[in-house]
Amino acid sequence: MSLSLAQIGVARDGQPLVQALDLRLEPGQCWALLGRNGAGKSSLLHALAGLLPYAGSASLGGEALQGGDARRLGLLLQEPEPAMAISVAEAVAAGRYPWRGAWAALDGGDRARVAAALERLGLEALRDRPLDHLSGGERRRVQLALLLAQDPAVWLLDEPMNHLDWRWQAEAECLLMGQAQAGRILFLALHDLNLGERLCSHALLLEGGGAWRAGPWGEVVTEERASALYELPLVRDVGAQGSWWHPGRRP
Amino acid sequence: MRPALLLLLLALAALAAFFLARQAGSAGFAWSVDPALAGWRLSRAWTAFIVGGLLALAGTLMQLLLRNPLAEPFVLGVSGGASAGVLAALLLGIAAWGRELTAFAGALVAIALVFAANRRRLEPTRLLLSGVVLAAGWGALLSLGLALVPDRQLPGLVFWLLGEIRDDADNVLGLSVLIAGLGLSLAGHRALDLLRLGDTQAALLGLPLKRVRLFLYFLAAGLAATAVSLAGSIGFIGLVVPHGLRLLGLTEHRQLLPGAVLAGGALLVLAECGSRSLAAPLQLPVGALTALLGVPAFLWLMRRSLP
Repeated sequence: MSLSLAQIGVARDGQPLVQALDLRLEPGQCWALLGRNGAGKSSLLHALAGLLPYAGSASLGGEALQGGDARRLGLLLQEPEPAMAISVAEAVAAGRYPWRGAWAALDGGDRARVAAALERLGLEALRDRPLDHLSGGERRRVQLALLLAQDPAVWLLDEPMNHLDWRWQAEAECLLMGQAQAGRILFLALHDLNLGERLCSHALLLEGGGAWRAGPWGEVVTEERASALYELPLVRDVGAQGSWWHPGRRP
Repeated sequence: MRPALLLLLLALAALAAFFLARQAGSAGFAWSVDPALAGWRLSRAWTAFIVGGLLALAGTLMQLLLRNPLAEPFVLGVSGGASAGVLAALLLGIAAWGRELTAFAGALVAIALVFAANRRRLEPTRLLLSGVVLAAGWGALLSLGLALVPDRQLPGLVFWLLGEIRDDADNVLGLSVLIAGLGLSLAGHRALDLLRLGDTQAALLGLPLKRVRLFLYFLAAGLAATAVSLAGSIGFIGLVVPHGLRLLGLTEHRQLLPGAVLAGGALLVLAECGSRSLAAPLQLPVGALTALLGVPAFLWLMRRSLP
């Protein structure tokens, strides 16, 4: 089931962020969404998730994508909203709401998914803790566990590694890789080119003023383009351990 | 504490409050009470329970709608509108319509004004701001109106403004609204639970946010309007009961909503009993007693919940 974007346009305060975007994201592909601060990465993700209006059309498996279609599409917000008297386990279980709705209780299968998501993100010991008693990284893990329990076909992720420590960055990377291998479509707004290089097969660059460029990672994310995108000289070194992006000029 | 046990204890507390209200009065506590007197006391206790339940339920929903811990049933000016309605009826010479009707009409005007001011979007910050501004407007109208009311009617009106449990309140109407409000909100308990994660996250999980917020607004405001038309502006219960129950561990709405009705009702039954008996033959304002009972209990709970 592929995600097709046709002539997508997103604007903020009358200024175009993305114009006439045509893109096809296939199952198992992981797309990086790159751009400067304020380029429109979050706005594009929010638009696809139905939180913002947009021009053009989006469809998944040939069916038009509706806002709030949470079985097919999930979004990890850049920052969580303030929560009200809700525990970690209740928050993760909320991920099953799209599958059960307002009238049915969770069944054994739902509960097993929630338990597995809590375990995968190392949250069992925190399961009864209120969300507002958690650290930023722990909240991030709860958001990821919620999305894992929600189990949508398309994962939109807005800077997914925010607040995570080294261990949980590695665990989250492994989790996302596994989801792509399982046939999910991943679309990640991120700034870390090294993470993108390891994780993403494709990239969409938002170049400002509505302009964009998309394609396989290796073709689109070159030193020249990345340096122009971020207005900073960026170098990609290749060694025995793999490639490594960093700021600076080649000696 | 387990939620089921807590709900059982709240139900027992409500029964104990009814028992105390039946046995105690201006002559103090007595094991044997004249049946007619007991009936009169129980009728007032029922009014108190219904109003307390309505206020606590409305407060719970209003805090969720406005995502603000200071939200309470009257924060959007429902009681101001009701008070202005009663005052206007007095000044226009149509007080014979009855306080319940004129208060309810005033409350409905307040609800409609806030709704119109928000162009039906009901976004929490704008909703709260417009409600607080309109409440200030109602307060100003009330001050002006009070200066015009004949002196002989002033004491009764002031007592009503402070909140009073009357002998002739329509308990059948009040109980019907309370049961309908509790039933409707319980039916949507899963949707209400989802809102605890935040409006955006709830929408991302497929909640029809606009419809749910409209439902919450009209339900909470309707419950508050019924409470104020039955017993005037009794403050504190709608603010503190939901917080207190959350601190005790009732966080899911299928437990929190009935818990709020039981706790709010029991608290007002006790306050009504105290208002009749503590300074007999004088009757104390019941709204003041709800605060006197509730403030220490709430502060104790808050202190207990600190890490």
